[in-house]
Amino acid sequence: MTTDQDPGHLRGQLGEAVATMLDRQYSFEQRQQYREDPHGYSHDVWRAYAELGLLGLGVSEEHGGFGGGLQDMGVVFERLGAALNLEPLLTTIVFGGRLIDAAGSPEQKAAWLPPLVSGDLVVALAHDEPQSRYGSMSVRTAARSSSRGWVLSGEKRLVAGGDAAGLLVVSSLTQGEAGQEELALWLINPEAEGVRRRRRQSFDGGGLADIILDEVHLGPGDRLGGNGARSHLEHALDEATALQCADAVGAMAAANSLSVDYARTRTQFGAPIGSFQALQHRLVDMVIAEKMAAAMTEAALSALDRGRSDAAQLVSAAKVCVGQSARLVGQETVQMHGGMGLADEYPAAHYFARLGLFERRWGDADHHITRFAELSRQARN
Amino acid sequence: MHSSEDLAFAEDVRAFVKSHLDPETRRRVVNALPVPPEARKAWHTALYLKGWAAPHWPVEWGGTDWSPARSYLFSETLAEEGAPELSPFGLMMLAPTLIRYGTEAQKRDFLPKILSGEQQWCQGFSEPGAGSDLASLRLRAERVEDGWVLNGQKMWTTMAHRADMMFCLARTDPNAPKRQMGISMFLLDMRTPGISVRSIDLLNSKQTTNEVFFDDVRLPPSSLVGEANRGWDYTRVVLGNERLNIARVGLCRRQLKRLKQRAASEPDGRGGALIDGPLLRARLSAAEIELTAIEALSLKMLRRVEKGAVPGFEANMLKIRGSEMQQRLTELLVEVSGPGSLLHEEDPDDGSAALFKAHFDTRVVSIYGGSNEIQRNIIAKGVLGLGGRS
Repeated sequence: MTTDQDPGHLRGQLGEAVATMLDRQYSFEQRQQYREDPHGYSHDVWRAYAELGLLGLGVSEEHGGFGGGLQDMGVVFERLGAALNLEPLLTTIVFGGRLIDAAGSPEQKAAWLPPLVSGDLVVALAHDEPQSRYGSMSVRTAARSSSRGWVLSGEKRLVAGGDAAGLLVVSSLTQGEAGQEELALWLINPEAEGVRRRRRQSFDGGGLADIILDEVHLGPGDRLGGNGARSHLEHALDEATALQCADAVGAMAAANSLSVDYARTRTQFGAPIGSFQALQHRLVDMVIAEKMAAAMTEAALSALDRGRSDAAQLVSAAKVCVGQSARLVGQETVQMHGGMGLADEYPAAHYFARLGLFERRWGDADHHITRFAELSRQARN
Repeated sequence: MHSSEDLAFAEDVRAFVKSHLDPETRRRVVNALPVPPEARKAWHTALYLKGWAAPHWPVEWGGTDWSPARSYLFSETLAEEGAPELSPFGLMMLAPTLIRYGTEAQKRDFLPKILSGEQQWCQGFSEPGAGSDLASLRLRAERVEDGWVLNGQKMWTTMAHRADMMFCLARTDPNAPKRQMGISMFLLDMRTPGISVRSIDLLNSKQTTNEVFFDDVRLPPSSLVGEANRGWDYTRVVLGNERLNIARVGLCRRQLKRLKQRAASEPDGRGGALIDGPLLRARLSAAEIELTAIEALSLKMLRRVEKGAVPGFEANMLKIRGSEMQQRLTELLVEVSGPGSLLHEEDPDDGSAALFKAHFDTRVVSIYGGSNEIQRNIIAKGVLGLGGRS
């Protein structure tokens, strides 16, 4: 993406291009079909993402990417959230493209970025563990040094996109040069010896995997980001969280327009239910929730793009704010629709699932409120 | 509030559940896993043999002479102990209506089979165009020489695919001065020619509710409940607005207990247990306080009923707050279970259902049986005297 044009204009074009593709390939009925695919998403759509250049978003141009920042990606994820997309795009872009681009060696970038950008590689982050909940740096998986490098063992849980991934970014503890324990990241082929993966399914669509790592042998070329891995990972988790907020904002906007349309057309007591003030006010509260979430998400994405020192704090703030909104909008979407809000063949319940599970990935409100408080205390000291 | 005799009785009920309920069935109920129809039937039979299948019925039809307080305690104790709920359509909805308004023949024909559980019923009320505005229903019942002919459609008919019988509302007088005055209630065999059932899948589940189509369904005169065009008057009894256990306090107590157990066993990601976190503790306590208040209002209603009053509008209030409490507790369970609640399938490690599915399933409690919006309308009009559109 060239920089001599107005970024807002470019973002608009990008959003329209994605919207056009989704109109053609991601109607609700088509999505119902994609859910039946073996990985729970459409490979044709994945190709279409690659053709549109979405997989190269945020990846520098020298490695085949198309540049662009978080705010550009935010526009894309809003559209995808509105369409309830099922593909592991977020993990591939953030933990594949962005993270490898930022932290990888020249060899790692040359090996992994071109196939990723062309649509031939799904990447997942294998970081959460059974005991870790959302404690983002609570890792027990350990890599101990061996004669030829390291041997890694541990257990990773509910890895988003882990079932379809051709490359795993795995976190572990290891011993640093001064003998201290430090966080390390590894690029691991899920078919490698010692890796066992169990496919699981999430309630809102999209695949997961539990992954057992049993004496996986690794060399220096497999390590990502050296002893700077921890800050790279923290930053990538913030990016993922902020983009997930954009996804939820898109889902809320779509759910709200579904409810407003329904309120206009559904007649009870001789009038459209949207003419009843009790429901009008609740619909207004749903839209206020959506708009607050959208504004907060933009602020977080912009802070990340500008590298502001309070970016992490704004991401946590966005996660809390969007979470509250998502809860209200998801629940009210069902209630406004009555029985229709529960049916599988109608989108309302699917928005409820998407929005209701928003806080189950990358930290819930308690996690981010606590983190917000800690970060603001650090900023004061 | 409860007498010492009643509290001793509650202990007997607990003991009965322990000795007569299959532990596997109990485990499934507590963990929100599906309970097979045979297991439900077995529990119904156990209660029936003990004389406890329908304690709220009159003694002459197989009920008991328990006080309202004892009936209340009985139901809440069963729920708290993890007993599966018996299908309400026959026992709780139709039977009280028949006892009050049915013919002797109808009572004789149906009450014993409802009591024993050998006959399962479904309820044909909602239609595509008649949800919260039930009185706008359009299923047409025309009087003919030898009875009635029904044409039209019902929707959201839970259990229609398994039920032997249906009670339904149909329009018998399209020209009545008020819509509510042209509706009648009918009883029909689901095998009657002209009836067809189509399933409606709910999110991520198969066959849970249905559409039912009526195509020239011929019914005998004996299928009418009470008088023609009086069906609307009977719905208050059917919809259970007079039911003492409407807030489902026992069920909520059981959920709260499970929630605390789960929070004690779930890691907090920092080396401790989740339940020790102050934010979560505050939310759990706030929920428990609200539940205690709901129970207090239930008991207050109960005391008035013991003195001979009818339950009144507290029941509508308790339907609202009780349904919201059930939803709040399943939502807290999802929160407490953290990333594990993402799973669609049953979790083999802790024997729980897909927790988010259980949360989703609870959304229906503020929609069915008169949505919370309708309950609020009733209170606005009946308690506050605020008229409006209806």
